[in-house]
Amino acid sequence: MLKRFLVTFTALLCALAVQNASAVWDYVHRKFSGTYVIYGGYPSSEEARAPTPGDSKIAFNLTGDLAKEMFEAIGPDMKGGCATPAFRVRQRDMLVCRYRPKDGYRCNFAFDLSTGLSVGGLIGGAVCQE
Amino acid sequence: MRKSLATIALLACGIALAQGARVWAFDYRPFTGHYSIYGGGLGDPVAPSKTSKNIAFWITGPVAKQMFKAMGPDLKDVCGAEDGNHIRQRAEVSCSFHPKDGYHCDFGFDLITGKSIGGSIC
Repeated sequence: MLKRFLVTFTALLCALAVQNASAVWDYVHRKFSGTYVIYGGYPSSEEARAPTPGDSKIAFNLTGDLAKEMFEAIGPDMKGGCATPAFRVRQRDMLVCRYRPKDGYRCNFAFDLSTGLSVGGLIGGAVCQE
Repeated sequence: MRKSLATIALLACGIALAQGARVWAFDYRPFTGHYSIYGGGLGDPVAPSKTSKNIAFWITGPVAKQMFKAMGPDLKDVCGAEDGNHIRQRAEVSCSFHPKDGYHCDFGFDLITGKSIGGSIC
């Protein structure tokens, strides 16, 4: 009798534990805000031009909590990133996130809308500029 | 008289140039959307882990409309292209327009490799 009770009790405990473990993470859609620009050429005010049918790209700029979350998710800082050690840069393929004590977290990425391919959202070196 | 005509012509030219230059500028505009950071696939998402960490973005409104228009012709006979839904896709970037729901775009990244991945299942 006691044995049966113990088995049932253990099974119940186990079921509860499994349920709690799976409830730790929920697939949720969170709101975010950012800024974007659609351009041709390269993503800088000096080198960009008006987009044309064969040359349309979109660059996204994200800051705040989402940029922090992405920065933390993409792993260790780039070695020898910026000359200023306080500027931390993390880059995976064309996705670039950075942290500066002065202006917080920021992530940049871009797509070529003619091909859908991920392209750089910042031109070389811009990531370390003031 | 000749001098004043020249001045007017110069002014008109200056205004035309200024307006032409104002047509397009590299200016970032605000937008909003939704995102999710998840592990596994979008069809069966699990908690993100060290080996599987992705982000999906879903955006609507003017930014999605501009992306949709820039992406060229609709795809025919593809998943989702029914009930008046227009689908435009280039690589892993997907946009759609439905007369009732408006413009929508989705895309994503594998946060471990930085590679562009899809933001929807279909």
